[in-house]
Amino acid sequence: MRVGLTVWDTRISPVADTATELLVAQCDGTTWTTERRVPLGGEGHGRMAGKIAGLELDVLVCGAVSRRFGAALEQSGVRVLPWVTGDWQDVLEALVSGQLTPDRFVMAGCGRRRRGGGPRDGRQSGPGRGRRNGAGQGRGRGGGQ
Amino acid sequence: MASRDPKKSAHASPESPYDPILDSIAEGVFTVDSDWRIQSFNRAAERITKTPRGEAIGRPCWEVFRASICESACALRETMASGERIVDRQAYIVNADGDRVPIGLSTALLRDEDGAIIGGVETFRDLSVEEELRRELAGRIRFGDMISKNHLVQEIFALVPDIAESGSTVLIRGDSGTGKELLARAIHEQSPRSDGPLIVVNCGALPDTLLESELFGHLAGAFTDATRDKPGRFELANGGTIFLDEIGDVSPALQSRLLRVLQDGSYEPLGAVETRHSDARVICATNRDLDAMVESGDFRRDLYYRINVVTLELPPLRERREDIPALVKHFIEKFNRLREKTVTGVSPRVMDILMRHDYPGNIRELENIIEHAFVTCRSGVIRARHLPTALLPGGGSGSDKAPTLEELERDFLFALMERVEWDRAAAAHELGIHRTTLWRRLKRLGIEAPAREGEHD
Repeated sequence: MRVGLTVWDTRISPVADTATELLVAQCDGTTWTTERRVPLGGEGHGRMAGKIAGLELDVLVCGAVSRRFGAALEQSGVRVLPWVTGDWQDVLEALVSGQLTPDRFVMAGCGRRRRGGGPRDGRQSGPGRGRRNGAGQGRGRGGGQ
Repeated sequence: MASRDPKKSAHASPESPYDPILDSIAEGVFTVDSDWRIQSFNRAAERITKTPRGEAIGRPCWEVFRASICESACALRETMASGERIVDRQAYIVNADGDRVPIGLSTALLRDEDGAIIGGVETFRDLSVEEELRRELAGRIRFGDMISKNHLVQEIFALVPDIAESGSTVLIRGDSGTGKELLARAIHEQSPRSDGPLIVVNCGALPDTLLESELFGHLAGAFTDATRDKPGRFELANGGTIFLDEIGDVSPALQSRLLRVLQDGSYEPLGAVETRHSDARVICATNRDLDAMVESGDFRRDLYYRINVVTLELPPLRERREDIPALVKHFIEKFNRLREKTVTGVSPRVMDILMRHDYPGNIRELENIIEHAFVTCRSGVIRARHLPTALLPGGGSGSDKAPTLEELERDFLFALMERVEWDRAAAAHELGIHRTTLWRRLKRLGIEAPAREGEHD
């Protein structure tokens, strides 16, 4: 599964609309490896959504996302798992181990949105359980391009 | 900076002795410790961010505040670094419902008894209502570049935001010159694709073979003159909107190709083997009766159903005459800018002529009439003699007729009233007559202040 995460330093970017970097990671069953980093920003919703759609992600993990940007992502066919917060490595870890549940890594006040799932809310496709591949090349922040 | 124990911060009590004071403030207020963890969060902050205080306390501020500037230009971080307060910086937050809320925010430092910095305070006010009012005032009769107070057009204006957001294919019907392209542009500009391109194609202006190449592009060698690859309009519209004007003029052969790209976005440029994909929102327009064309077999039924998802119908100008004064004013302002002239308005007689005309060419025709008048009228008021002769009663015989004294007086007073913005006291003062005398003259000559933007019908 190819996962995109909007990141800010070591954490998930608080607002997807204004995120400046997207990290692409490959999650294969029990492991994850980072693949590349894509700069974002300086573009509006439509272009940004088109750019993200072009990365052919299975899911985009991000923080807060406005209805407008959510609609642009939806129109571009991007599945979104919004309202996520925390260190992006921990988030990936939770994702591959099936621990990224609606009540964990969720932004303050946004639990009901994750649980309820609006039209923009992506569903987490089963990444499988297990442990991170300790030998995975490009793992962590250093692996980005 | 003095630092609090983050673990202690994370477990801070949701209730603080300062809460009643903070809760009495209409602006959102939160304080953070030196680790950016929220220590207090008032009721207004709860309301604006749609986040309960209990969930906010102890969390890093960016997880709760979710502002557009958190990542790149945090005002509180700036204040912490410089010690300087920031007042009323504009930004927006994304509340827990996903709404973008415009805010004005201010920051200050928090110090202990010894003057050491222990954190910061951020106050913010919700600017949604102000922004909404500003938009409403500006947009009451204007929408994008469209101007109308007609109830049918107002209904369309009201629908546009939802239609723009939906991403659905839109069919705009209306006679030539009714503003179909302006409406398409307004939809595009309100849509999440507004930063992408709006590509306009007039399907009726090109022969079939050229149109196919124009829409889908071609590769070098696809035909005799194709010396290099050329991207099609669908490719250029990627991430934006493609506006297919005069869709009813497309040939049956091309209709089937259009159907495919409308169904799944796929197409092949001329001479290409590989299928390409376009992520373009489609807006179509026509002045033809597509229902009748479907019945007669001239337009594919499946294509018709594909484009007829959301239909908007623009009425002709003769059915929305109430818009003529505002449109005239708009075009005068436009041509004053373009031609560097100082035309102030039209005389009552000209307005009367313009209001009675039938406008087979709709708004475009009205624009042409004003443009024509600008050729001979450099400043002051547009009079009947400045209009195209065909527009005048008797086919133009009146154009050379000298105006009567009463007409001259009417034109003069109208221009004066326009200049003083219908302030009767100012006009009377300028003329050196009493206000009552002026009022009587205006009444006798039938001069009334034209309806202005923002006034109701």
